[in-house]
Formats: sequence, structure tokens, C-alpha cells
Amino acid sequence: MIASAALAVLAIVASVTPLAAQSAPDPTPPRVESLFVTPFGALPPIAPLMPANRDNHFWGVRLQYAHRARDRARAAGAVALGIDLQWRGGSVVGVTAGYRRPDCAADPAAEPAVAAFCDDHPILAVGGRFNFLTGGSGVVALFSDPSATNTLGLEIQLGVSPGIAESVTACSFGLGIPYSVSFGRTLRLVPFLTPQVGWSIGCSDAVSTSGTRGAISAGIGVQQILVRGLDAYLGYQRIFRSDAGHLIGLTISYVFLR
Amino acid sequence: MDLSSFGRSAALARTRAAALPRHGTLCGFTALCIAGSACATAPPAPAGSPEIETTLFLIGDAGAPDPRVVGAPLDSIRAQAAAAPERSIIVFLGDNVYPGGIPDEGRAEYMDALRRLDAQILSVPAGARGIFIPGNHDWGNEGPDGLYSIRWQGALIAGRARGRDVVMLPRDGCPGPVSVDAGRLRLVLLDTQWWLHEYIVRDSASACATGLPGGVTDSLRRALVPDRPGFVAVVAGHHPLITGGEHGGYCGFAGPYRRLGPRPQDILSRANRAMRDSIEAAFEPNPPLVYAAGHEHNLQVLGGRNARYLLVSGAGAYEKRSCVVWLRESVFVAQSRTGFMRLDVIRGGGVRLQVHVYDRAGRGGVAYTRWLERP
Repeated sequence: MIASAALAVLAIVASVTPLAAQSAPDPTPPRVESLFVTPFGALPPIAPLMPANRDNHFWGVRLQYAHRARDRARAAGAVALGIDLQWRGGSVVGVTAGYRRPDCAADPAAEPAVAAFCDDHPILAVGGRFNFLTGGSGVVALFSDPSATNTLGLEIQLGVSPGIAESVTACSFGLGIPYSVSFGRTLRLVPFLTPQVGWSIGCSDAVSTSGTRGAISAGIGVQQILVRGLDAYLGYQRIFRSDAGHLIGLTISYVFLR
Repeated sequence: MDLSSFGRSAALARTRAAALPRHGTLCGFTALCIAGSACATAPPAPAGSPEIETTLFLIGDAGAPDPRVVGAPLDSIRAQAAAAPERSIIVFLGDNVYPGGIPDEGRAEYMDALRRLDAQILSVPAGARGIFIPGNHDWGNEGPDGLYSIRWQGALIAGRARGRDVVMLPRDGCPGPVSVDAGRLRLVLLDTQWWLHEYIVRDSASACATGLPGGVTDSLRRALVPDRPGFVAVVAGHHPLITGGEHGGYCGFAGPYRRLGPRPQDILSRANRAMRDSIEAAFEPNPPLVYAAGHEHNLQVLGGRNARYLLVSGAGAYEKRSCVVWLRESVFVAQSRTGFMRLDVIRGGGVRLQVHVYDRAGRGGVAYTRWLERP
């Protein structure tokens, strides 16, 4: 399990690294800027949700905050609220709505391409996190913990950010392969790693359709904090682009159990 | 059965039991017991302590014992029950003979099936009670001859008791429930495979108290009505109500396929859901303290809805051990190990759970303890 996950990570990193290398020197075109202004690059990554019993679907809410530090003064903070439906205690579909506030102070005359993306704007997303393999026998020995559980899944997200500039809407489509291991009793620690690929989708004339970038997300979660449904995740994301900066964020989620 | 080797193993288990730490949980067994966890919620029970009114040992899926040595779980149960046999009840939670229950007497597998049964019968010390619950493998591996296979196994258990108090309950392929009272404890036994079997479940020889699902749930509901001070109800059947194991659609590559096309043995199937809904509906007026099951080859302690705790204790045979996933409802899980659970019903109040876990070499002991009912 671990070996296959590691191979998957290596394969994706290997496939996206040349893109980053080819991009230097990066002229900061707008073609992949949509990845930064939509939830793909604006909100923090989270681990696969803890499984629950198969008899019910469970509703959950999540509050997310992230800050991306970028060069050329294009840092931005974003906050969002999400609603998730965990289908039969396993995979999750959800919607997200939030707000992104760039810190940038670019001169529109000197850097029009940068300044075009400096407006405050809403961020919206719909997506799913599907658990393909959830098991544990393979990681028991590694963690000396007979309750260790690992999960390999697939994340899909369609993000939309209207009004990033006057009459400009940015869109993106993201795919990720999250792998997590949870261990511990009562409080569960969940380190996770998610290789990602994001596509900038042309949903406005000002944004090209051709932008694609790989990314890597990682983090650690603490599940079942005081009550069984409450989790917190600290996440980091690096998009493979020379001026991408670093995103760090926090997610608090709560699953309503029956 | 080589009784001398059995005795040596029992002595070894007693030595191991004496070496157990005095605090509640072997935290070192689990890599991480984070602050606030339930690592040490109940002290271990001294063997034969007079404060214990009844001790219930729960072990499931033990029907694949090693042909050479007695495994650590059966060995340890025998040693612990022998300390106070008159108040010990050992419940075998089904799948007592792998892979297909008792075969025809003329077949080569017949003698091996007897060996599997004897290994469990001999773990019940003189003076203790042993109760075998039917599992799906005991019903002829869910085959057409299941009803006759389960009757045959019941007769063999009685015939091979050698003076021990061992019995299969419910008997003769009947669904139950059958109640066994011991002080404050009422143990209610179900044959859950009766609900899921896809072939004949009754014939002209059947003499069951009830033969319809509605009748079973009515009887179960009545059995759970408290009728004495300090009433403690434990219901036991082979199939779990919640599980994070293979039958719950988790673990390995098979998990997703079980989700897409579940068998009656799996949690997500319609037949299984109907059975569990019926059982849980019967629990609603008077929820039992514990619903105990096997079926999954691991150890799970879960919080329940209509039963306060759901125990899955199906790790009776090392060769059958399997994966389990930690669920939101989980309180404790152990996978890839063998083991059993022990419930001590304390005189005057209190029910204490111990989970005993062993590795392949037989090393282990109490991995988790918890008060299910505060004293």
C-alpha cells in the first residue's frame, strides 16, 4: 500500500516537475493564475474524512482559512465555509463558498497582468473526495499500532471565482490523489500527502484555457477532538510554479453523527 | 487432542497473565495514547476476584485452530476461566468450524472438523459453561445443507462435551432468542444466520418457539425487559451491527467491490440491513448494555445507537486474522492479531470490559479495559 502510494506520488511529481522547470523564467502570464484565485490554490488541503458506519449518510460543515505568501506582493488570504455529505460513512461530496482578499498592491500601469487579479472576490467550489482503498493491515507494523488506518483516494474539485477583475471570472478544475495514515486512540493523528494537478479553465475571455500545473499538498490532522465529529487540519500547498509561493491554512470540520 | 500440550500452554498463559501490568491498558502496545484518551479507564480484574459475579468470555471465529498447538486466545481463556469456573461463561460467537461446518461423516475432512470443535470444547474448564452460537460457516458455509449441518454440529458438541457444560444455542437451526440468566446478567443468544440464509431454515423436524422474523423480534424485545435490580443485558449473535472490517466494505481491494455488490453477509446488503433493523428495533425500548458479535476476524469496541456498546470479537484464530478500519464510532480496534474479550459483571454494580490481544508468538495480554457500566 505504502509502496504503491509512494510510486504514485513519485510519478506525479516526476510528471509535473518538468513543467516547473520549463516555466523559468516565468513571465507570470494569466494562463494559470486561475489556480491561485479559485479554491484549488486559495483554500487549504485536508485529509480524507474518517470513515463512519455504513448505515447512514452524514452531513458535515467545515470552516477553512488559508494564506498564500507569494513574491511580488501577491499574497492573499481566503476564508470559506463548506457543507459536505459523507455517503454511507465513506466518500464525500461537498460545496464550498468563501471570500478571497488579495494583499497585492501592483501598479496597473506597470504590471497590468498582476493588477488584474488584485480585487477581492468570492470563491465557490463543488467537489468530491472518494475513498478507493481504506485499510490498515499494511501500516500496523510500521506504526506499531493495531488501530492504524490508511486511505488512498481521489479528489475532484471544480472551482469558480467570479469578479476577480471587472467582468472577469476565473475557473479551475483540480484532481488529487490523497494518501493518509491515521493512528492513535480517541484522538487520531492523520498525516496526509496529496499530489495534485490543476487546470485553468477558460470561463472568461481574459483567462486562457491552456494553463496546467502540478502541485503537492501535505498536512496533519487531529480527528475526534473532544467529541467524535470534530476534526482540525493544518495544511500546506506548493504549486509547481516559480512564483507560486506557499499556502498554509487551517480547516475545522464537524460531522453530525447519529 | 494432546491434553499434555494443552496443559503446558495453559501454564504459559497463566505466567503471561501474571506478568501483565497493574494499570488498565498496555499503552505500549499502541504507538500513541494521546492525552485525553481512554488508555486507563478501568483496572484489570484479578483472576477469581470475589467482587466478580459473572465473567463472560467472548471469542469468535475460532474454528480454524492451528493443528499443532493450542492458540493463545483459547489457552488464555481456559486459564482465566479455570480460576473461577463456577461463574465463568465462555461464548463462542460462531464460525466454530471452518470452512463449511461439519461435513458428512465419511469425508476426509470430517476428522479435521472434529479437531477444530474439540480445540474449543477443551478450552472450557470443568465447572464453567460453554455456549456455541452458530455462524454462517457453521450453516454449511451458507449452503443448501446448512440447516442439517448446524443440527449435526449441535449434536456433536453435546456428544463430545466429556462432562463439560457445553451446548449450542440457539439449538437446531432455530433463530432464538434464548436467554441465559446468571445473577444480574441476562445473556440473550441469537442465530443471526437464520435471517440471512438463502436455503431451507425449517422442516418438519423443527420445533422452534417462533419461526417468523416478527416473532423473533417480539421475543427479543420481551427478553430485554429488566426484571431484577441491577439488570444487565448482553445480546450475542454472529453478525455485527456495525463494523469497520471487510464485511463493512473496507479493507484492501475487495472493499469497493463489496460496496457495489454486497453479499448477505455484508453490512451493505439488503438482507443484512433488514436483519439489523429488526434487531435494533427490538432493542429500542430497553437497550442492552452490549451487543456482541464475531464474523469479522478482528477486535472492535464501538459505541452503538440502540445498544450502548457494540463488540466485535472474531479474532479467535490466527490464520483468519484480518484488517479493520477505525470508524467514528470506534472506541478500540485491533487488527492482524488474535484475541478475545472478557466482561466482568461486578456484584452490586459495574461491568468491566477487557480486550486481550496476542501476536503470532502468543505474546500479549490486556490491550484495553473500560467500564461499560460504572460501579
